Amino acid sequence: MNRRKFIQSSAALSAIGAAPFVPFSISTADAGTITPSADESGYRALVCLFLFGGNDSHNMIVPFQTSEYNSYAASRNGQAAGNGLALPLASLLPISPTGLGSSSLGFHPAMPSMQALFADAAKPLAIVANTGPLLSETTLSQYQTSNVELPPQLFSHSDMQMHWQSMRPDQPAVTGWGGRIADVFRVASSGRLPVSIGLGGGGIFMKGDIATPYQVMPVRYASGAIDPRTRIARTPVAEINWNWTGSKPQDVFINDYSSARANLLEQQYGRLTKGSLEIGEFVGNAMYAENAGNYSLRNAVPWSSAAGVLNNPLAAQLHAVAAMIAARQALGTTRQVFFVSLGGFDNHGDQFGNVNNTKSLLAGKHYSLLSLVDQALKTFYDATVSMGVSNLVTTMTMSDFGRTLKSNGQGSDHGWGSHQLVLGGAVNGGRVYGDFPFAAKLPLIDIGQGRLLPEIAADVYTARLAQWFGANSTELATIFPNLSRFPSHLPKVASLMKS
Amino acid sequence: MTRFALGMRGPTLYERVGSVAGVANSESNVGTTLARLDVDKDGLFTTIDATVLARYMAGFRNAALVRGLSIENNVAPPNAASITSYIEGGCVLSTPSFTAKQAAARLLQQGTWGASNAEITAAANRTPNEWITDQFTKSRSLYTPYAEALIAQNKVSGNPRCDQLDSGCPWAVHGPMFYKMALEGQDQLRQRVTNALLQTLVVSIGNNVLLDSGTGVASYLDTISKRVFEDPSAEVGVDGVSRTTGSFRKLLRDITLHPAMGVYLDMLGSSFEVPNENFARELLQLFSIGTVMLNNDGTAKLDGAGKTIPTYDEPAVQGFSKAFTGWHFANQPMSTEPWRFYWPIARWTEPMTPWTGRRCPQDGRWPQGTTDATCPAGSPTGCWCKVTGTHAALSYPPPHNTDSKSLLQYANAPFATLPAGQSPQQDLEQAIDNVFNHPNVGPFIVRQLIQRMVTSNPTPAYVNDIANVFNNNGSNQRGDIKSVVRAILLHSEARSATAAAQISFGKLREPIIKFLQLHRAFGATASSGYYDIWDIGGVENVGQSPLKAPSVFNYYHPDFAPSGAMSYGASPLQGPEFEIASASSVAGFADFMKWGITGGFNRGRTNGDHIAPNHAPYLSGATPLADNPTALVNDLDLLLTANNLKPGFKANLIAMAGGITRSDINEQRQQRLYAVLWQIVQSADYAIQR
Repeated sequence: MNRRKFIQSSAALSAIGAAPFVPFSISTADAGTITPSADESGYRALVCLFLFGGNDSHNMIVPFQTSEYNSYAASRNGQAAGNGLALPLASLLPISPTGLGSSSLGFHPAMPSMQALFADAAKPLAIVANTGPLLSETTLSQYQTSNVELPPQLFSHSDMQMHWQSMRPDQPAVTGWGGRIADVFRVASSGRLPVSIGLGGGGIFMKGDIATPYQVMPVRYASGAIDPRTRIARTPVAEINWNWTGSKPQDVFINDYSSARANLLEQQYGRLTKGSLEIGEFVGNAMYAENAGNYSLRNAVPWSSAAGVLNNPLAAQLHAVAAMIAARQALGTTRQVFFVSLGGFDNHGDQFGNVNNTKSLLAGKHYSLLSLVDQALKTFYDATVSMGVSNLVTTMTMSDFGRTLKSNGQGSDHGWGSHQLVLGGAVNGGRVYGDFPFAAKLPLIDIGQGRLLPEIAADVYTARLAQWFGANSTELATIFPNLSRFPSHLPKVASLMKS
Repeated sequence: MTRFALGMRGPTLYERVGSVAGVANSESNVGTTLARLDVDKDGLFTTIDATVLARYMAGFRNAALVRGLSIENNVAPPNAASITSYIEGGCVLSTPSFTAKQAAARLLQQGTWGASNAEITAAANRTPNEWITDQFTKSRSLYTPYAEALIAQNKVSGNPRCDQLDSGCPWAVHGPMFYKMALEGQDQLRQRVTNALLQTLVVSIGNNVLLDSGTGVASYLDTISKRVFEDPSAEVGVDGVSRTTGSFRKLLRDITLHPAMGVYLDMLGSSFEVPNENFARELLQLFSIGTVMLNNDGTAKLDGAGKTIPTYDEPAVQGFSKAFTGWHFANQPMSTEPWRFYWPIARWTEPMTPWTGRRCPQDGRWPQGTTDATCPAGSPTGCWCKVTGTHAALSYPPPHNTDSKSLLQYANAPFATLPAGQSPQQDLEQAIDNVFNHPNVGPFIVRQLIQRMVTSNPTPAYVNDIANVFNNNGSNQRGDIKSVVRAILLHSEARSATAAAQISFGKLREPIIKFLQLHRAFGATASSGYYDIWDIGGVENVGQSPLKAPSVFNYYHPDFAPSGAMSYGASPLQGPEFEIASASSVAGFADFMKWGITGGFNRGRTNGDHIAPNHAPYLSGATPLADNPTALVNDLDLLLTANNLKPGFKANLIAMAGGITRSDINEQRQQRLYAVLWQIVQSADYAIQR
């Protein structure tokens, strides 16, 4: 269906007064019970983890039963020994998703914690299979005959990242879905701290029409403790012994920001700095107790002090997230969207490593990155459990695209559909949502080189999380303007969350 | 003077004329007074100036002074009369007006890493065109030799900067190299343009292989800076074919074959079986044409349905990927040492060359170079790769893909299809011809150059004018970067105060440029010549690290449009540099600056490494500026912002400085200077370059 046809048919729908668009309906059996503690006032936090560069998720979750594994291995050109990208069967960490059979899939060997969480009695971890950027439900033959509207510049990093962040790929990216959520929920914050908070890029994701995101830095460690120079909130203070007369020295240039000026770039920078100072002071006071020039968190965060965690750049971001969640009452907020990220997944040429002088996938860039993800997600989830907020915090992943199943001898190239992880106490975990691309499925969705046609639009997957966050149907239609284009995708993720 | 104008230096300058002892003096005297001796005011001291001066000394005056020279028929100054009166006045440069200095300060903000008061005054005595012409002649700062010298020094036992004598700490040379050239080099415009192009044609020491190479990125910088001011000329390509082109085509080819790019985007080692698409895709998307068809003014073309039109599709990416197969570090001895595929001799300063040797048989093991007689012949799985012996029979095709390739299809496109069976060199040069001649290249590249130097939101008319120069430099040459740079800086939108007063004009200064400007404005250099600055890219520091873009998408996207004041109206304003400006970076930069301001940056291991600013005019002498708050604020306003501080803010600064009193007058002067500097550096009026 081309764009014009789509517009005609949707106009027709509204003309006959169709029932209001209800994106997701959860069966009673899947609706869980979540009882927030009384003082939380329905607090919820959505933590969005972007894996920049295009995570090879076809190696993150792999068919484990022999015939399916063999088909997977063939699609990846065999084992590393032959320059293929198939992980060794024996290295995989098997899981048994509901409905797919015992040990039907395996996690990447670098992700033992994800294997454990998937099997955990609380079932906090779910997999969303083969999701990706689309503009309408698309079949292989539609793709091959160009008889369908497609996202612009498929397989380009920047365009696919933009799609995942904006969910408005057919328009210039002015705002992101995180920012539009923040617009909807702006009353949920005290008005001083924005709903959307970024720790690792995501400039587009967090931009709203109204909301301006607050960008903070990840926590870093010095001598085993949080380095005070990396405290989340900073205010520039003139510590030099200048003989200021009257008020604080920064008031001079703050007043300058407040004065009218015509140039829009100067206005922009002035407001950024004024906001930085004001929010910085507010957040700093809410979160830290200053003690002899040093800073300690007012609300302790139970955090692993393992050396690996302290050196994990993703864990450093999630530590800051946990600290802000711990301080939610002082910060006066009941809804927060966090953007964290890890880069380096564009493994065209460095997917293999060297184990005992042998080319191997049990080392190398992708292996290292998934280790970081595994450790950071586990550490963060454990912290939310310890803090008693695991039911109120959901972490979800995004990435530019999946990669080609076909190996290029050194790694993989840009693909399309990919698998994502969703983690938290409000998740109906232990399951795979959507159709996992097993052998029988592949010929129906492989557009070439092992690039997989997504069968769940990224819009649908992310909108389900926004619904959990509290957006109603009307708000979802505002935040995700293309959502109604994917009626048959919606049921696939309806049960992803318990509410 | 005539000899100097002809380019002679050293003893030849003085030979048979005077004493050897006078050589150094005469060279430096002429060199430092070139602006005064430029009597025809064309921005250069040439044989014409020398001839005029020699004629004057011989007694010629007025018309006879210039007869037969190219200035003879000038009606506006300079002409014979004005030159005569200028010489008779003692070749004294006039004290430029405040307006002239403000205009010069603006030009230098756009075309240098930052300028001192003396440099602003000198530029104010020339037209912008003269200043640009003069910059074209400045000798080129070379990154690679300095990086190599540093690594060599680091290998000497007892050196203070590296504890790994075998390697010489190649990963540690990038900061010292970059800052040395930026703070000491005279070729400021060339460096600024080189850096602007590096931010489009990105490689980065964020890649560990390039970081550890020490010279990979250095050589890449030299590759760009060599081309940027090169006039169009004939050149024999790697395919043996001579082409006469502008410098941008040569640059596109050079970066394609540069091993730093080869490693960064995986073209190095890409082979026929599965051509790596990484470089091919980014060459199209980021380095040349972008993803949508553009009008010559940089706006997107729309089809009948009002939608943008893609510039290329996946088959074109695959066509370029195949065309770029079969290259490796220069001159790898592949056929005799096949393990060089994995452990190459990394020649970072030489262009890649085709490799013709056999790839190691794909037995999945790291190849080794010894014979193993026990290895079963013909088995690719039981053996390590062998150099000699029976495994020579395991032949693999050469790594270059010799299929026919479909490239970019557009009107009059050269080499829209590459025929089968061509050499890697033929495919490569022809693929570059195909992309270089695409009509998008001009608007796509010049708009980003304008954004890096002048303004984030150039009008379509500005882009159109400069793209016209890119398309044809006036001599029917395409891609002449030198002409493009001159046109960008001389355009009325860059120069006129009216354009600068538009509410959408200007750009956010990059953190690196703020950092460099605050050194250069006060002539801060390290007396040791060693700039001990490593990575200050954290948001608690400067917030951007040179040569270390986080990805091939640079530090920021050229079309990033922040929400807020700039998103008013139908079309939001773009502000690429705002993508790395956050609450944390603003506060971190403010904290970081306060100590740099007070004593110069990086106090280093030794006093010689201290990058000390010269604050003398403010603190000492007969009339220290710090004793006069109004003069102090006015001076710093011109020096740092080209007079962009708003009157109310200046009044507050003057009052604040006057309120700082100390019994020790020296302490009072110092603290007034530091306080005013600290305030200006935080201000929006400083942050936005207009």
